[in-house]
Amino acid sequence: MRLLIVEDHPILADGLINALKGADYAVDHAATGEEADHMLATQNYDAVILDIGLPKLDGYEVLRRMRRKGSKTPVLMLTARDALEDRVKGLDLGADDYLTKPYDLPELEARVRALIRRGQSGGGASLVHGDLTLDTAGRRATIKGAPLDLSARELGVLEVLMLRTGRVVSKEQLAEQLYGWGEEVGANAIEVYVHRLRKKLEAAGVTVRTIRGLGYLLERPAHE
Amino acid sequence: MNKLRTLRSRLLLWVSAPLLTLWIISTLVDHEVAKGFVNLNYDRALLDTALDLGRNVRESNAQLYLDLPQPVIEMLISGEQGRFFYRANGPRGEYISGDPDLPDPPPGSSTDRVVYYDSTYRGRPVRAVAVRVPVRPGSGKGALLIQVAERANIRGESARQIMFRMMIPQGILVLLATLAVWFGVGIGLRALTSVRREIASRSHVDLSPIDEKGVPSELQPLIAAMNDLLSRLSAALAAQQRFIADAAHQLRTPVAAIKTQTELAARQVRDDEARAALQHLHTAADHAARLVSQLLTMARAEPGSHRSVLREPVELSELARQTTREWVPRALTRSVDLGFDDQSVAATVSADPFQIRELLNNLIDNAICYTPAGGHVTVRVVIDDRAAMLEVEDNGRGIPENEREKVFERFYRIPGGSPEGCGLGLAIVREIAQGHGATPVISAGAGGHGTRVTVSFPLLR
Repeated sequence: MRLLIVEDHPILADGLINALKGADYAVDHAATGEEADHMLATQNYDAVILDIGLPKLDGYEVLRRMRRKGSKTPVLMLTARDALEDRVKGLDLGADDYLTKPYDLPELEARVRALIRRGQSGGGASLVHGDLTLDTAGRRATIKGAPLDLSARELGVLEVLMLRTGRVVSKEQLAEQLYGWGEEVGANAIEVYVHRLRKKLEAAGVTVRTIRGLGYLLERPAHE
Repeated sequence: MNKLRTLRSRLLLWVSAPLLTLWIISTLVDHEVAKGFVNLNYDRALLDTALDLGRNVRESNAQLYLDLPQPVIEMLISGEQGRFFYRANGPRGEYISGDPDLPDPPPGSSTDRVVYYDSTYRGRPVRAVAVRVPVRPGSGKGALLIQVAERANIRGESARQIMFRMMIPQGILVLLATLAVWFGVGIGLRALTSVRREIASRSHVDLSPIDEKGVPSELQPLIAAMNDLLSRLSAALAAQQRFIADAAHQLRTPVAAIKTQTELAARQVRDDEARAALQHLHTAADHAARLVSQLLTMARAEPGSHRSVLREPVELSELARQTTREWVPRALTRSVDLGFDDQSVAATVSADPFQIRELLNNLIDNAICYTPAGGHVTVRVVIDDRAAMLEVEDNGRGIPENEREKVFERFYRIPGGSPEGCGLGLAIVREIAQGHGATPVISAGAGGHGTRVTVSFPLLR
């Protein structure tokens, strides 16, 4: 896996490079927009971490040039600005994700992993969550390779939760997902599916939390 | 002196003082004019009386005498109270009739014609006329000297009466003019009321120009000057906020660098003490990061920021649900159970959705920060007849009653509270709430434990 970090602040860049090298990525670094532009033209990357506030050629422009050349490399934008307009602009230009400085390192690492996975699977055939793997095409789940006995609806619920690991999924979102398969599902039924799913996942140390009044959340694997 | 501060009393002073002065001057002038008229008329009557007397002088045996009809005598001879006094002298100065001691005309005045003069008779001022009347016209027998005097006070009395009769209607005019000013100012100043209302109904973050339409042209320079001040103020505030925002943005990258490097170091270090120190460093960097974000929010919520007066219908309950959802991961890292009250009802208010989100972000952040591990934080929206209330309740250690007002101050810390303090969180909440005509109120949570912050927004109908 080869990553490009485009960041002009030397100490921050150094921290990012070391953290990601520690996670066994090959990491290149560009301190300016021009440098990044040049490196992207000569080398293929699995993901790019792109700071917006760069001297002269800014992050938006680097991204614009990338996409104009037809590059589909996933891009995580980093910015010191958190205004909604800035966020929307980045996503409109074709950024895949967005993080506001200062962020937590584990958060950044998780986002990078998710980006690479998305880039590789090209639509996502399998989702991985610690020991748990969900094959979305084959519609089956395994823990450490051992198949997990889940009903179609339980699989549906698990897929939605895994796609939003670490974030809250509302009952409505789950119902909508199941409804998409031609079944009308009430809130009570969702509770039953989640309850069953939770029991079956417990053994693998995967926790599905109930968030009062909001829905459910699949906790991030502890060792990630 | 204080009364003179009002426009009405100033105008009243500046209108009534000259009018009063004019009134007094006019009265004095009237008096002089009246005296002139009265003198003219009385002098003529005096002359008539003297000529009448002259016509009644008869000659008998070369002896001149005055043959007066009874009513004339009664008129003339009325003793001490009498109005008139007279004396008739012959051509050679011999006494004929009347008051012998009546004063003579001033010496040197020619007696071929009529002479009026002022004098004193029996100790009181008199006005007199002396006239020469021929004994018999064309007889060559010379002329008689007839003198008639009249008490002067009668004339003064008449002149005064005329003066008073002119003075009273003029005084009424002055009074009416004063009243007209009094009420006229009130009516004229009503134009100011609409301007006052417009300014009074503004939120303190609204620095947009005041509408000049419908304002009298006299007021327009004032409104224009005010608008000019507003625009300069707005520019100055915007510049200050840009500075704060830029500074906050600039701070974010180095803070990110500190956080990344400390986290990295904490992973590599095997020594527990060093790891604890790095953990502290990381926590401090987190606080700095939080403060930087709050500074940015504050700069955006304060007057003068470009989007400070956006208002649109906002469904509070949905917004609260979404915002709360975003905070769940953070709450979980602190082992705080963050939830949304299922009983919350839909309530639409007029607001800036981004700012309300920021307000809630700060309320939730604060609640999570002050609630120990294992505690609960609940967000809800309730309504009554007039207001929609956004509530964030925790079961942490609560805020003592006497501290509840102070925690809204910037950087205030509850004595003995956590060393990181509230930072700007609740100050931002108050700033945004006030911009929306709402006030945040702190009370105890359910069962008297913990803290409940309630922000009431007027319901949109």
